[in-house]
Amino acid sequence: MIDAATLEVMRNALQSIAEEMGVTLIRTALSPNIKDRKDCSTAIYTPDGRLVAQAEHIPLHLGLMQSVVKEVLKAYPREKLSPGDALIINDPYISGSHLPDICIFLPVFYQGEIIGIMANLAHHVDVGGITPGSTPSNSTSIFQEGIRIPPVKIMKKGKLDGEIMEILSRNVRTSFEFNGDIRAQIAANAVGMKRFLELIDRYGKEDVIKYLEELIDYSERALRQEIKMLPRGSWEYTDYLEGDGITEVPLAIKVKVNINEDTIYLDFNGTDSQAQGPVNSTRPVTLACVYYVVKSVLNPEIPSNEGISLPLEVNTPEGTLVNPLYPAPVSNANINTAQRIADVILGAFSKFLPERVPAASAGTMGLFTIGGVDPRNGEHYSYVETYGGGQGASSRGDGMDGVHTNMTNTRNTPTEVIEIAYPLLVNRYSLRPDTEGPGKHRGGMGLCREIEVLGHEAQVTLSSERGKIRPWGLKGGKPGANSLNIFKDAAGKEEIKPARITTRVDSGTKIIYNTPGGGGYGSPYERDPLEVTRDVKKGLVSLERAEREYGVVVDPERKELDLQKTIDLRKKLLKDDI
Amino acid sequence: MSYRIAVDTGGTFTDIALLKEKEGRVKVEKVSSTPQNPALAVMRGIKKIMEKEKIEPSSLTYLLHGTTVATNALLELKGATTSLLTTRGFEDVLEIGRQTRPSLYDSSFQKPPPVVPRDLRFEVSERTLYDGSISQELRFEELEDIIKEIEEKQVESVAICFIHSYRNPRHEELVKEVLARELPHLFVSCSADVLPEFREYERMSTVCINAYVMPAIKRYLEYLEEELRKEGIRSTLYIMQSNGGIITSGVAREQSARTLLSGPAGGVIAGLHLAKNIKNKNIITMDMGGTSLDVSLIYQGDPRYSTESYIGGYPLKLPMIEIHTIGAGGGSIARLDQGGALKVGPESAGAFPGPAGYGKGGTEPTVTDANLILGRINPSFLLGGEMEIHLDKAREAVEEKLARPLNITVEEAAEGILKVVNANMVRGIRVVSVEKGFDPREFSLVAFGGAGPLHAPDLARELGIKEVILPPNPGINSALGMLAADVRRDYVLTRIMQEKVIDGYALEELFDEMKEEALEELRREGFDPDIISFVRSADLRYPRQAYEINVSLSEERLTKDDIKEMVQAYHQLHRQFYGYNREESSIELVNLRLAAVGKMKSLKLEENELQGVDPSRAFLTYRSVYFEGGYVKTPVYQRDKLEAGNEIQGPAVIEQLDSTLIVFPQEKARVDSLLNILITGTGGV
Repeated sequence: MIDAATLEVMRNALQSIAEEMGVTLIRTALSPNIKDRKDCSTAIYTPDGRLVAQAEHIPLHLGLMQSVVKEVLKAYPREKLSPGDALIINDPYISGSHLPDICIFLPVFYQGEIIGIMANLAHHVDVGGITPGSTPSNSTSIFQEGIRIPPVKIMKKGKLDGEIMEILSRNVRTSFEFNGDIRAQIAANAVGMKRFLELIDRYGKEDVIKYLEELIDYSERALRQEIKMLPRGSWEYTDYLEGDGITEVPLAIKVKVNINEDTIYLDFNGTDSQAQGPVNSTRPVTLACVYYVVKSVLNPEIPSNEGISLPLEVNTPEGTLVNPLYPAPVSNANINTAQRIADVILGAFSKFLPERVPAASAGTMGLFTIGGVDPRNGEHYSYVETYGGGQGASSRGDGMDGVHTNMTNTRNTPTEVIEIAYPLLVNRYSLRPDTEGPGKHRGGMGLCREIEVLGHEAQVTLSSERGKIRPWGLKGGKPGANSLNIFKDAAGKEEIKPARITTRVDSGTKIIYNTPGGGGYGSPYERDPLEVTRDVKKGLVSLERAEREYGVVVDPERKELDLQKTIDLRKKLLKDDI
Repeated sequence: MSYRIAVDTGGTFTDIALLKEKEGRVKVEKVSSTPQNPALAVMRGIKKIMEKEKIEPSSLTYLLHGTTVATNALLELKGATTSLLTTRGFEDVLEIGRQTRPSLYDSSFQKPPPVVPRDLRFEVSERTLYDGSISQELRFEELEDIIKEIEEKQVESVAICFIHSYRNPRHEELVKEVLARELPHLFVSCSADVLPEFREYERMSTVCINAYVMPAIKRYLEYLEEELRKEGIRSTLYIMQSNGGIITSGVAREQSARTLLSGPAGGVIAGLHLAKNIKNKNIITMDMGGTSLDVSLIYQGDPRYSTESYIGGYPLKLPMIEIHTIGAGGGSIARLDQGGALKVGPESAGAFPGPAGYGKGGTEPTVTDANLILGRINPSFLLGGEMEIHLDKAREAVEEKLARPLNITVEEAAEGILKVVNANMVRGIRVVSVEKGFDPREFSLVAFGGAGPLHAPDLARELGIKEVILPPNPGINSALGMLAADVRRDYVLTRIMQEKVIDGYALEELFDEMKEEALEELRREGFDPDIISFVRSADLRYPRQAYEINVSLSEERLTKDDIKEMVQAYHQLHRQFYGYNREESSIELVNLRLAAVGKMKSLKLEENELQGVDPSRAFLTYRSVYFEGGYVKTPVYQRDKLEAGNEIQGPAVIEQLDSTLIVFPQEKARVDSLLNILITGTGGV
């Protein structure tokens, strides 16, 4: 019999195992991507590869973790697996996102049969290819993006396969980090297995297996409940990527959302064909965006497992941006396309749930990488970081300034750590004033970091978005500001660069990376003038902008609100608008 | 006769513990807290216990105090108007933090506002590099305008945090000098003084919090000391810190952030003191109150320290006793969610409206209601009759919200609540034990707090713990801990070094620098250098990891072998914490740490002569208590009538003023010579 208390106890126990695996991975990994930015996830599966519990640190992994184990088990059925075997894979064309995301998983044996699977996925700092960091903004095939690992046994009966490790190590720039991170991933699974077996000792095999199933049912049940409360109907939304890194032709992503009795159908028909450049999103990435929006808008508490996918039917036509065909390049889809897919789905949801959906956020994960040879020690280095921006405002309040939004939530790298670890100098790390989308509730401000390359030539990749099309507002809210990339050479000459670029720079070059602001919500003329004044005092909104966008007059000397002038100005602006 | 008094301010009550040093006898007292001016309750409590025990103010030798003034100022954002001066280009670091949002899926969750708003943050042209060299000299002339603005905006306190100042604090010191000269009334706090460690956001946050709470602490302590003088109390006032040590009130005024979260630390020190008197040196302490549970682990007589704490969403990187807090308490609310699972907490009915059974308007079923229904808590009254209990209201809430929708009995639902909350607490204990490589079966469980003793036996059984220890005054643990605390100051120095260049001599030189500073500071505070000892350690990691493990170092001059041992100890701890290590890899040293400990006169408690095993003198009545599917007629005892040596076979209930103890069937309770109750037979072997 399933009882409500035991269900909760079991959910708690499995979640804590997944989280402990995550702690092991993060605290012992070497790549900044994993240890600092937590770009990794850990999870527990049923023997047939259905996700039960997950400790995801970024929502992007929601979709990846759901499908990868199932797909690999097709090539490795039970009879091909022995206790102590662990499998490795990063091939996006079997299941994955891009090559740096390497998944390792470990079937757990009990009395001769597989009773569960421990898995984790981590973003390695480099897996080879044409640029340091393995996320070139201009690749035209997956072969330029690094080494492709099919599902193979990285551990055989408890022993690490030295030969495979050697092949892989020779194909990555930072083999020291690579080896350390693989060890950390294996250790994380081992911790999970140990705890899972303890759980079985405590509750018995039958009960544990029964509750694995029950937890999947639980998520499914909870999600169907939420869907039943939605208005029935069909809504669609289209938004654009501004180019693919090769050309700057806008690429459309379109979704139609149908709400049925207790299911949702999402159809990406109408989305543009796959691109020549690396912005193609594999189906698992697209699904991650779907799960993210559904979970965040309908009920953030629902546990992330197989059950979430069951009430959702998603059509991703083959050969399009949201489900490309081999060997299309995919390395930047996580960074930009995923954010746009989320925007599009949120946009469709905003049409029937305007109170629950925020305006568009920055819309890019703002990738910034610098690589080269460190003149201090002659070793290769790769600085890789993704940047937040403005969060979209919502009916509930302003968007946050300078945070990661939607599909990611990785931490930044401290300036002091950058300067200790790399031959780089950080001159600025700040919010970008006047970049918010004005509204009754304003969007968040974008971020700015200025990095100077010291004493060597370096290769730089910037991959951002929203350089031309601004993050949209909702219900009369205005859009947030565009991203802006500037190079400043040693002589001080400034040059504006495109949103996506991979290039060499000289010693002394300063790269000024500016990320987009978030969209506003509601008419800016309805914003509390005191709130606007507060932003002016803080130096986040200029006096001119306060008047122009919000119709709020602030005394330039005392920085206090001029209420009468504000009332008059707003009257006039409203009249002009009509 | 000489006496020690410890006073701990809590949200509802201010606890006072008095030690008669000669006899080792402890007396306790509780008075209602006075949140508007906490000193009122402190004074009232001190006077009350001195009058009761007929003590002359002049015979007080130590006065120890744990205060929540800093904690409240921060959590309620009622600290001083504070400014931040930082390197040009970095004023927003305090606001950006680590650029993450607090909830992955809930976009309405907001970050807490920075303690220094943007219009009070100022940038100064200056720059120190990662190796401590200066690439841009400080532009003094820029300070003029800043000082003008600081005056105009009536700033009370200033934090200074420059990039890489942990490596070279020169520019911070220069700015501090200028501010002290120009605005002598101002509070000034430098990041390199408060926390000379790399990673600018965490350091900046810590120094800003320090500056933010400093004026409140200073004003409070001045007022309190004046009041104490009026009463004729001449003893120095010692303040509890979150590292479990005490410090003079003078230091607390400068390093105010070190008093944050000192209350729970006092509780762990009480556990530590117990460990000295009890055979098992491995102890897990749990303190369960109305809304939360604090768990901490003591291994071989030593508490564990952490430098990764958060308070109110702000990082505070000072060394603290590692305490894991979860939202599980007597007031935690039970509910059924949409998927049909029974959830308990972290929402709490708090003190008001409180559990349904308290009859103060609460309608949500809570953990306390479940305990009432099952007869574990007295279903008629609490607090020795001061508080009436409404069992019918507790049953009604559980019936309506849980039992009926689930189609089970009220008792089954109540058991379900306990099952879930206990599982949450077990998970909390596992975080500090199993997940850190400690086997809970080797530990004793010490339960504090009103609700702690009630749940401890269940948790012990679940974790395979053999022995539960229930101290005589489980509700007054923090004040008791302070009676036993030593003076402690922590120092840290960031020096990133590869294994091959680490040499004992160089480390000694760095430690000597820290020691000199420590001795100088403690001497200034009036401590005799003879009572001071040092505890040395280093934070190590594998090259390019981001998290360090703290490894103890010997007090002797470090030899080559000692360095080797340190590296070996690191590999071993890495295996213990994470299940593997990389012995083939070299290591990297990141921070050196020094704790200066001033031994206070040790606390000796009175031992009671053992009486017979028969507890019948303390027998009160019988009541029906629900165990494993049925009600059992269970004897109820009064704790204050139990004598050393008494034994009670379960099932039994033991009641005291502020707590209730349960002895389950098959378990046995014994009262030891210090009047602790030890429960054995919890299933651990």
